[in-house]
Amino acid sequence: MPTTIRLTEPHLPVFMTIGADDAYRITEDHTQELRYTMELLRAWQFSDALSNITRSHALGALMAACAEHNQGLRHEATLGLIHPYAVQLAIYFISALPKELPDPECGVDRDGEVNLEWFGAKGHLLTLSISGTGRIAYAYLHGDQHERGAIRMQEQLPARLVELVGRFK
Amino acid sequence: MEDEETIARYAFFSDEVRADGTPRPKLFEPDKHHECSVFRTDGLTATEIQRIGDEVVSPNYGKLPYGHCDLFVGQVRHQVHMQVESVEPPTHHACIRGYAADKSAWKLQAAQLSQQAALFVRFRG
Repeated sequence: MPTTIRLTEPHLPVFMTIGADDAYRITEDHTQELRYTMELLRAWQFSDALSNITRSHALGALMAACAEHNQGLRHEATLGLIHPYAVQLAIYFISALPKELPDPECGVDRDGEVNLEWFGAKGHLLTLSISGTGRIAYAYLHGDQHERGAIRMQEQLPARLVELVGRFK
Repeated sequence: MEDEETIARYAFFSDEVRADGTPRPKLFEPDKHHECSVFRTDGLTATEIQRIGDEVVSPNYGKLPYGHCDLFVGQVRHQVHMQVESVEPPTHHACIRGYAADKSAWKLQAAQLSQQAALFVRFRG
């Protein structure tokens, strides 16, 4: 019988579940101000462990970039703090990508948002930045074609971004 | 500054350049003043370019730069439609200006700048 494990308290503004198919789900109530708590982070980490995460190379690169950024914070006043929730959303984004899509290259923007990027031939690229509020700013370039915009993280990965990532297969 | 002039952007973070040496958009992200700091390198030797990175720029980061990526002023002006202006001191310093206010818009500009730039010149590992 399919069941869903709820890993965080439903009264929190964001909570995750793992469904019977082991897929992540994230639910956000836009009427509430987003509040990050250590309990929430622990729940996300717990859910990561349960989800049989692949893409370990990309996730390792993300953690390394966060560590390097945090080291730079000691010296460069113009760097922004990384919001832990931005990291967790990025982990969710990477982990929830359909298996047939390629890994992103990971990094941290100067303002502390997490960036995920895909590169193809001849200047074909997609770059997106995930903020601690769940806002994703993105830019896509392919020859003379370009597109940019901002999307909020949804219950599933934003369809437009999945479609753009799919062009790098 | 002439269109033919070369400017260099120093890289201090490993996620600013891809493994194959092509710059990533992050290398050309604007700072909090909404500009990107670069150095004019025409007429300088490789040793002098590294010395500027090591002695002039590195104190802002607390570490030495990995290397730099070059591009022509004309590429910034005519391919990405942004401005490059000399801003001294320090000697040879300039700024890329004209970044949009919206993040997705300046990410597009940074991505376009990264596509114009030459391959990474590495100083050290």
